[in-house]
Amino acid sequence: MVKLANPILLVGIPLFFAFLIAVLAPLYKKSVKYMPIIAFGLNLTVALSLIPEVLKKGVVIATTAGIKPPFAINMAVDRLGLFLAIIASLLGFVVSIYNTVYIKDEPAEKFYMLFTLLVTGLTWMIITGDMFNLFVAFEVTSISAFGLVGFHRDKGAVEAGFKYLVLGSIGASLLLIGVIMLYAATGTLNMADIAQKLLKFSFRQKLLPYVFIFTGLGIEGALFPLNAWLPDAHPAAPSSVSAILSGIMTTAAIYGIIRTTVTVFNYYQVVIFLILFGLLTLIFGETAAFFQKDIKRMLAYSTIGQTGLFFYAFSLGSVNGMKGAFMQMMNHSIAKAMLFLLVGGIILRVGTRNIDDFAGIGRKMKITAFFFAIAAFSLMGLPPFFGFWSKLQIIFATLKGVNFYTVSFVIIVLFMSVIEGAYFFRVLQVMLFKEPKEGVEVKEAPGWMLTAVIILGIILIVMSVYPQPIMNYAGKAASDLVSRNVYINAVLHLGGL
Amino acid sequence: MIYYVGAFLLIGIGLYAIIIKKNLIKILIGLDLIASGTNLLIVSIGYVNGGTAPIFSRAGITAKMMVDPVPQALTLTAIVIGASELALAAAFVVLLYRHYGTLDIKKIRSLKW
Repeated sequence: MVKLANPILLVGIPLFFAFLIAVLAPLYKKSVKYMPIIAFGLNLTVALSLIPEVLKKGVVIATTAGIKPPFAINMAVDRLGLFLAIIASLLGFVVSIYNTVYIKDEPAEKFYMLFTLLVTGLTWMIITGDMFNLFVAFEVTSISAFGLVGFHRDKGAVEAGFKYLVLGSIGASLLLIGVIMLYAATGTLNMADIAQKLLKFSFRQKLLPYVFIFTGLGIEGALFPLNAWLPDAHPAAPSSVSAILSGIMTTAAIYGIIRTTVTVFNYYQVVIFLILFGLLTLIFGETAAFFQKDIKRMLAYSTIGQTGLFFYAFSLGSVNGMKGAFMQMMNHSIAKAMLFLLVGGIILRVGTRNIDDFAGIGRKMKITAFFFAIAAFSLMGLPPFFGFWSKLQIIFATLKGVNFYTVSFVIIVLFMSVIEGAYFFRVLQVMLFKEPKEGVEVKEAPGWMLTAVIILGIILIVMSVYPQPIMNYAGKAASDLVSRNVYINAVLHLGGL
Repeated sequence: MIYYVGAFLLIGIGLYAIIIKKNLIKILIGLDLIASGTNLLIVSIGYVNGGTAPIFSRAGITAKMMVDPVPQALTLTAIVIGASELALAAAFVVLLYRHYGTLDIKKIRSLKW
């Protein structure tokens, strides 16, 4: 009897289904579109059934080939990893429901396969406990993302896909160089083992591999100035893929940076630089989003801004800051995925991505407009939505010691929130209060697409009404992460076999 | 030592090709050079001068005379990944050529590069 609460299933199940799609596609072309729903439904079950064990033990570890760490590859799920794994499988599940009606272009079966691989790779990146495995998961994610960005095969999509591919593969090579430098220095690839062996090394000796790994993951995580691919790739991809890319992919890459910085390198000396990266990304993303006319491009820039915000919160280096970062991650993942899914429905009905052409459609597409407003409010941090609590947490964490720097950081964060509010309100104003153009007939988006959004919307509303459990959990995850021994001891002193 | 220098030279040449060259095929070659340089770096890290294959059944060979097998396994994985990435890139180049009729990156500008 295989135990259900096993982290390895989080990778194994969808990987199996992804290749099953390829096998079954010639025979049952119509039914393969339901495969991702089954795969991520099972994945969500596994992730949720891991909760009690993770809450009890802190870290759940799966070994491969029956060999204990530090040898062989292991999967380690701690509180933070579980948190993101649940979000990843939830988004995978919901977006698969959305895909069943959204994807009409051929070859659809290849889309479903790549989509399953994309979410698998993301979950894999989150739960792996091995540096080289991180690279492999990173490549699984990026290669399927390249294919999905170019899926429509029109001029813009192909160009965006190629641009993304060039930058993404440079990033992967840099990550690999960093990993191999770590191997040369410590003789192991296991994260916990590397962490222990790196204690002997000085700040300057650790700097070179860190810079390589940071740059490699930073390209995928869209940190300024490495994010040139994102504003092209997200609009070019089908909306459901943009939801995954925006919602969980940048988050997973930032998670990789967090894991290497805190757990593996124990690197609090670089925090000042990371704050700079976070704030620059925030400022760049939000100001660029403000000037966009294309709604998907606007959301893509807004993703850059949000990434900057939670990266900044993490780089404060304190437990409170990281708590705020994790809350903001969750808020961003769910709200931004909702927005992209809704925009997909709007584009389907209106046929254009230009914000000015959305005049008055909110009166016809009432459900769409309602959930668009909820997601936008939560993203910009209006009370009583969840985004308010996470931004409040970030500001409190910044104001730990009041001096010139912290106050100016808070001013920047607040000012950027205002800009964010400005462009979202502009879209809502066009959608709800402008007179519709003559002769434009729009109706509500298809039912299954709305179902997907409504599931996410209900989760967001519940989160907003009862934020306390999630806040407590995020705080515990942050304190586990900061006291690195929880993770390291659990992996290295695994009892039994 | 010479291997490390060679590996980083290859990576540098690859980056140069990607940044400076305007031809899509040359950019592909640059990507491949970066991957090859990385692979060379990985193998040379596990290399022992005059070392032999790590097979324990042969008599008279101790662990000191063997090369490290882990980097070789990693290189195999990295080669496979690099090859598939390059194949995908080549497919993109074919599609770009069909859309624009050119391989010159300066003429392919429907998006802001």
